Amino acid sequence: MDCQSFDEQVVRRDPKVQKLLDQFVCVRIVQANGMDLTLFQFDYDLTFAAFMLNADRTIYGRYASRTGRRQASQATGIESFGKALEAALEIHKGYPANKPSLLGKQPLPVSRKVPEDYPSLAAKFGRPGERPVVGDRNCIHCHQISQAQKREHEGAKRDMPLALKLPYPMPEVFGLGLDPKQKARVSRVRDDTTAARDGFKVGDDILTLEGQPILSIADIQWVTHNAIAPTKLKADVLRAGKRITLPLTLAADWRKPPK
Amino acid sequence: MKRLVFLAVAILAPATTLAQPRDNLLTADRAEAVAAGSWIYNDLPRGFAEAARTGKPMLVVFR
Repeated sequence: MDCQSFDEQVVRRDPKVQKLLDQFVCVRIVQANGMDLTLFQFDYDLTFAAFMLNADRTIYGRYASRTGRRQASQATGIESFGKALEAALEIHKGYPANKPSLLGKQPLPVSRKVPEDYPSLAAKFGRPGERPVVGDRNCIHCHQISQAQKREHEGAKRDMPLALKLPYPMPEVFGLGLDPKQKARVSRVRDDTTAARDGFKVGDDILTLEGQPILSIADIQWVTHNAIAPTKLKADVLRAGKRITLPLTLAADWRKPPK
Repeated sequence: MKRLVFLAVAILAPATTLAQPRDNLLTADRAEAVAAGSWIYNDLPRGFAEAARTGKPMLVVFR
């Protein structure tokens, strides 16, 4: 399923997720003008991204992934979206007692608070509220934020960080294939990869990573994207009904796609 | 004069055509989201206020 079809299922409140969506206050944002970058941090090249959070701005989880239109089905689907919503509702029930476990999910400090803080976007779109957002010409698209971030580095003639060049890689890069119908279930472990050496097996459910509850593949990407490599992350995994702990090794060049 | 008008149309028409699909998409999207009910459209502060009032969690979708 491509992103557009998936998005249509969500906006039309597909029967598979309707009852779950009824338990949320659902907000749909189709323009990035004035977007709060101190809160909403994700791969801005995505065509669909979702956040589940508390009214006090505490993030419970993310859903989406960095995939092109053709590979969207590798990471998104109404089934896994429903499972992420269920898990977010569970977290909400346990909130705020479980707040410490959500600490790592929270946004990181950023230098730009809104997209219009980037000079290239300010020049084109003005400051927030300066121009009415009517039609496409005054509408900032999410992907323009990542363009602006890259332009800033190019303009300053600084080396572009690898995290900006290769943001939010899919777990495939370290050898893990994940089932798009589940929250985070291993469906494939590529031979001779760090995931294989770390002991991951098909059928493993990744419950937490670095102590963060995992609601989706996007949640795994959040942890790995923000990790300082080289490092060894700690994964709590459910295998054949038993909870075990595995390392997840990120080499210094882990973001680079396998040859 | 006619040549100028023709030239202007020739230059501007493709830009209008290019802008049209996204505009149409947004209009249709908004109509669909509103018609579907229960979606707050492009209004995050209202979403936060509603979540605080009802005690529900929020789902924020960026498209």
